[in-house]
Amino acid sequence: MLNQEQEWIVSAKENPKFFAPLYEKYHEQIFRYVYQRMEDKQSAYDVTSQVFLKALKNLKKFEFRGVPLASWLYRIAKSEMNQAFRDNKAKRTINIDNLQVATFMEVFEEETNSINKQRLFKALGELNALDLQLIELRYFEDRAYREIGEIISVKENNAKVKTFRALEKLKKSFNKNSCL
Amino acid sequence: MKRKVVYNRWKVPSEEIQKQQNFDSILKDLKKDSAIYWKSIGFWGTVGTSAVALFFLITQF
Repeated sequence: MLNQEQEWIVSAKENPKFFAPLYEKYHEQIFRYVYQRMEDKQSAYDVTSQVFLKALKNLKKFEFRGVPLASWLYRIAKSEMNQAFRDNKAKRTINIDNLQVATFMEVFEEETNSINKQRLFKALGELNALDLQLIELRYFEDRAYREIGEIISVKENNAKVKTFRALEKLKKSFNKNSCL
Repeated sequence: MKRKVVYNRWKVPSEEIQKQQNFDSILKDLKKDSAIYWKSIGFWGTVGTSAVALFFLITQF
């Protein structure tokens, strides 16, 4: 799988049109990653296109170190999203569904009701950017710690520890909002 | 940065995302960007400086 990817990357470094299979492979997952954090669908499509344009522009600098190209694309996506938020072209959004709310309530040993739901939303809004990113990657997108580590550029174990700490902070913030 | 929480948003189907794929347009933008650099001050500044340096180098030796 990675060997095939490496071949595509080598060819694409010579001629960008050979990047097409990689674009087809990663387009949907990069779009979903971006749209998970954005309000507007069209802005998410625009940012996704920018991610691939930037990847093609900088492909010669990409060094293959045994990790999928996806990790590099996620890092570009993060930087492009932050640029869009800074330019006010898009609004930072936290997308959550009823199943995810129920999961958190189970972890926090609380009842799933509208008051607790509001407490959770408030607590999520209070997390810093990295902690929110970790919570989203692990609990909203169900990613493995290895993959989280690749996205945030840390080792798998470190990603696990950081995610656990982020969850602890979320819980603390959730409990602080008990008077809502 | 202020964040907005969206609850139970409708999931975009894969077919819709696939329809939005347009690799040709990205290649076009890439070519446009290369063309813009060709016309940029940065490019001609580098070329100009190199040309002047080369001229001096040739005339000196």
